Amino acid sequence: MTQLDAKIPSGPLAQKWDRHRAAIKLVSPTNKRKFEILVVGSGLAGASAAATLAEQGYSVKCFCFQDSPRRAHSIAAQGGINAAKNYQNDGDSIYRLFYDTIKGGDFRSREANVYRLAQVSVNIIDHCVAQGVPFAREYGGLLANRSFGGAQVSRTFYARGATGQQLLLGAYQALSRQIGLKQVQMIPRADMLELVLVDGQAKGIVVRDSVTGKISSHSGDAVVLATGGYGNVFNLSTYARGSNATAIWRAYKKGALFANPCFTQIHPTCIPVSGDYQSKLTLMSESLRNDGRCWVPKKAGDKRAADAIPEEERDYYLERLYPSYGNLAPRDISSRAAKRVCDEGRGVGPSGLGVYLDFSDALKRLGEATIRERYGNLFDIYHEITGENAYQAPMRIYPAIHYTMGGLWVDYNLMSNVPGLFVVGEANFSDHGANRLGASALMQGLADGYFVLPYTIGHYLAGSKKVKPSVESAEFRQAESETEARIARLLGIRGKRTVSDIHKQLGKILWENCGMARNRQGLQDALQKIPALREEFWGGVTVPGEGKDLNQSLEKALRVADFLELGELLCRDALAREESCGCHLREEYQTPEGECKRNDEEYAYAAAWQYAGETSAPVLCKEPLIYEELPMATRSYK
Amino acid sequence: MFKQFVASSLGRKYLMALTGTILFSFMVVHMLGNFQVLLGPEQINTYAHMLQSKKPLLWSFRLFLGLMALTHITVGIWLWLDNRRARPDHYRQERTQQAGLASRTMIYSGALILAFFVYHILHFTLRWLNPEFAGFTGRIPGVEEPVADVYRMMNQGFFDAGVSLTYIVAVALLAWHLSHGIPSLFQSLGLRNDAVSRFLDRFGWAVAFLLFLGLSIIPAALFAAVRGAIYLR
Amino acid sequence: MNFTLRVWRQPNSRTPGRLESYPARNIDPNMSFLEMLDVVNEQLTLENREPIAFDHDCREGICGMCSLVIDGEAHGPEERVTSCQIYMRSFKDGATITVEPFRSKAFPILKDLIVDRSALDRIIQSGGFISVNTGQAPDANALPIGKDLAEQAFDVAHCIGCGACVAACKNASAMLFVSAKVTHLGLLPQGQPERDRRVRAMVSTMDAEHFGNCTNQYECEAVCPKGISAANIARLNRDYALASLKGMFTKKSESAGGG
Repeated sequence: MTQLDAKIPSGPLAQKWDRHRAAIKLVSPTNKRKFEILVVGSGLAGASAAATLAEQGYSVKCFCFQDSPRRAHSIAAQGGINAAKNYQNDGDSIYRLFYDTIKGGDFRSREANVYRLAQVSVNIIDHCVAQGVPFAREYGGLLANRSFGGAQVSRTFYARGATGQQLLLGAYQALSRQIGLKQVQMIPRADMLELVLVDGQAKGIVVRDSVTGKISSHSGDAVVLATGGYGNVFNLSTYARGSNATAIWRAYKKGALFANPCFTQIHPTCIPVSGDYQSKLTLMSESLRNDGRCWVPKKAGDKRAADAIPEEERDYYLERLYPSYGNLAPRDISSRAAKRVCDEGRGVGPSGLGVYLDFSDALKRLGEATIRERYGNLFDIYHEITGENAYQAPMRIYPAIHYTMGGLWVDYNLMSNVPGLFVVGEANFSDHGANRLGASALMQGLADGYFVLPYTIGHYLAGSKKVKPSVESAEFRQAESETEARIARLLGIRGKRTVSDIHKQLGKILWENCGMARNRQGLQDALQKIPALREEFWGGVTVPGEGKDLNQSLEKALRVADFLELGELLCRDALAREESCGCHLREEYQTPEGECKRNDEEYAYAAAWQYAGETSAPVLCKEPLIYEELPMATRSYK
Repeated sequence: MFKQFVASSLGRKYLMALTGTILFSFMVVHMLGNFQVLLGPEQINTYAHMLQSKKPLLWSFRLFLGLMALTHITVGIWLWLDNRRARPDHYRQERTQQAGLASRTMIYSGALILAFFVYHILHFTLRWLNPEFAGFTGRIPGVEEPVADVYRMMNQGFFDAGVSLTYIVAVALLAWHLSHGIPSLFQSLGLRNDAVSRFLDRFGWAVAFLLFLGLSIIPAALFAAVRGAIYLR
Repeated sequence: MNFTLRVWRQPNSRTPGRLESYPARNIDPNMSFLEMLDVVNEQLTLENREPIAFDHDCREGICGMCSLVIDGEAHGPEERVTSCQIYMRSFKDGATITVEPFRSKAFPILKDLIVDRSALDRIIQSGGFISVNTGQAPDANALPIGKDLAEQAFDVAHCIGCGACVAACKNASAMLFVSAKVTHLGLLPQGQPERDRRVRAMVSTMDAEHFGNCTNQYECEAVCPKGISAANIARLNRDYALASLKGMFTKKSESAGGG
């Protein structure tokens, strides 16, 4: 078992980062260009890291699977980005943002990391404004803020409903500038398929050019993974279709620890699945629950149209279960409640997996004009996707996977336990604990990429004397041939089931057993079913086409092959964590009201899993979470 | 820098717009001048003589206009070729959303206008098509020697229904060309925004239509007047 | 619903392609167009034929990856949406639907419906940014920017870089794309120091990438999923002319490339 050292600097919490920055080693300007850094992924974390490292003078190679770095899925984030600016003079501070984030994460995150996140949050806004990000403003010309869940202050900066897009384009432009200056070599349409270690240090990657199918190696002095979350293991999610876990999974299999894989966040208000063919779930802003009422029929199997069900036969279940919060119950609570009523057979819509979000009372009370003014664009999106008019009939919504707090384990320097392998953004596990607050994902991605990694990576590089290995070396050759063999094996199966079909089945197993509510029996079942499904995949999947060609089926097959392994780890972690915290609700460990019951005595640790080979179970390494500043309290928003 | 500007895509748009504006302005002046034929022989012949008597000015003006037309044509063809190269393979199914027919046929309307221009020069300026026009002379007050009788030439020229019709069709084509050209030049010169774009479109059509009316009224009226006079006689 | 698809199939950029017909059967009207293609592809896969390759990623209209010309219209028959936001209920049952890639010399076809749009990235790389290194910025509120200006900047910054403007333009011109970025950064005070060199560099890259010229027909704005107005092209023209004019009367500096 690997001993985990988070390398948290000593000293008072508020001074840790400053002291650490002053103490870590530097790389001189002339030496910087001799170091080559490989950045995989070009979302908020990857693009900001690649751009900043290049500005500092490092030679950078940046990879993404999309056709352009501008397409990374950070672009789809809507709501906003938190920062402790206190521009609204409402009592916000770095400490308060730190506190809210720790509490939001249900005391399963690392204090020092979160405090640093809150500290650099203010720099992010300054930098993004300087880049030309068109944040919302007041008439006086100063920046506007909105409120978000889990906070009592207005600290969320936003650009209409496309904050992620605007921040990503800012980072993309900074990256583009460095590409133009030849400081970054951008390699799009490239799938990272293997991590290469030389003498136990991360020194390169193997990628597949998705246009030509060519397998090639790239060596560097450090590897930065910024490849996002793994929510697509569930198949249906709000993630982009291409989002995948292959890079972090390959790193895991090369020895990097995977922390808290079962911490997957579920968003309560998404447009429900409308059929088996569905490829993607779309988020509807949570703000709708301010005026909409959630209900299902009281009778199971009631297939009448919404307006044909009389008032007394409706169950406004959130108002019934949580009278004080009602329809504004927190995300995890309302997600789980929706699941419960659907499990009872009372779900609505063709699939039975949906609940009504009804605006008829609000429409009566406020009139259509007011509702249109508040939510017009959301009603439009709903209409666009479903073809239904939510002014006339209630919306149907259902929870969906949309973020993963878990990821590769990293220390305070964002380096994994594999020397030279850094992990930033959603791909790491560091800052959100068991639950992420709204508008904090953008903050973390940019904090890591702009303001943390560019400092901490220098400390590693200054200490590494090794010369960059040649891609002709045995380690690279072997990694390439293993990758080629994996591809050849996939193409050679020519079975009867499609990759998508198996992915759907995996998603279903996970959603049912390791989704919004988990229990021992279900998880044990899933741990039987997933290996069986994996066998079926390797024995009976069909992947058409060839390897040396643009082959989207093969790309998907490679990703699903890794999801089939990751899914198992997810369930294993959920089974091992015999408590409920944040997003992770174990039905055995809940309060009578269905709230999470944490067990700080035994589970106040980050569960970091170590790969132990094909035939042995992974080893659980524990990083104890020590709270020096905050007492571990019961999380309550009542 | 100038060369770079002229060779750039945007620079050429400027050239098209600027030369187009000059050619258009000439058409307006030309039309106003020729309206004088409707006021009788003395008026138009005096005007023609005034122009002819200022040879250096006339020729520099002609040279300038020729250069403008040449630029407009050359750059137009250059852009057209460039644009064809930018999409070497066409859509098997194509659907236009909002581009008007005039805008999509500028190169063709332009080519026909050029063809007409050549005819027009041969007809009334060089008079190769009707050499007898050269012999038409008349007298105007204040000038000793006989001057060219433009009035008679135009009456004679438009006596033929085919010729009159050709002129009317040609100015219709010109108006068609300008119905896109006028609003377009504001865009090309950077003088359009969302507030004025609909107005500019309508303005373009209105000006083009007025120009058509003005230019076609001359052959139409002369044809009708001469024919009418014969008929009445 | 049932449809007949005529889909452009092309093995790679060197081999000529052609339209091929495929049936799409039992299609739910609430399927998105891309989901309908998924269904057709599943069928092809089971028949051991090669599925239709098409670009897609977020499937919610923001990443700009999907790029289909459906029945002659870039991003299909609905207004202000991307290809992934087209639903099958927009078509008549039994219809024949033609699906082609974005066609332009600047966008070589890689396979079937997938094209290479890296030319757009190269335009941004030549100047579509504000040169500010991480850590250099003053306080975000040090520079007030009027609300209207910020909103106008957002309207153009909303461009998703899908290239539908190029696909729809009969001249395959990228001017709407370029004008959106030039306007976004040109409106904001932060963008002023580089304004002239930016527009000159971006236009020069655009020209070098073999895009066509604008003939002011505004097909681009008609298909733009984010409703970016072609009036921005007028602004681009003006900015470019002024920048060139200033360039003619100032002492020559080094080339504008790369920032």
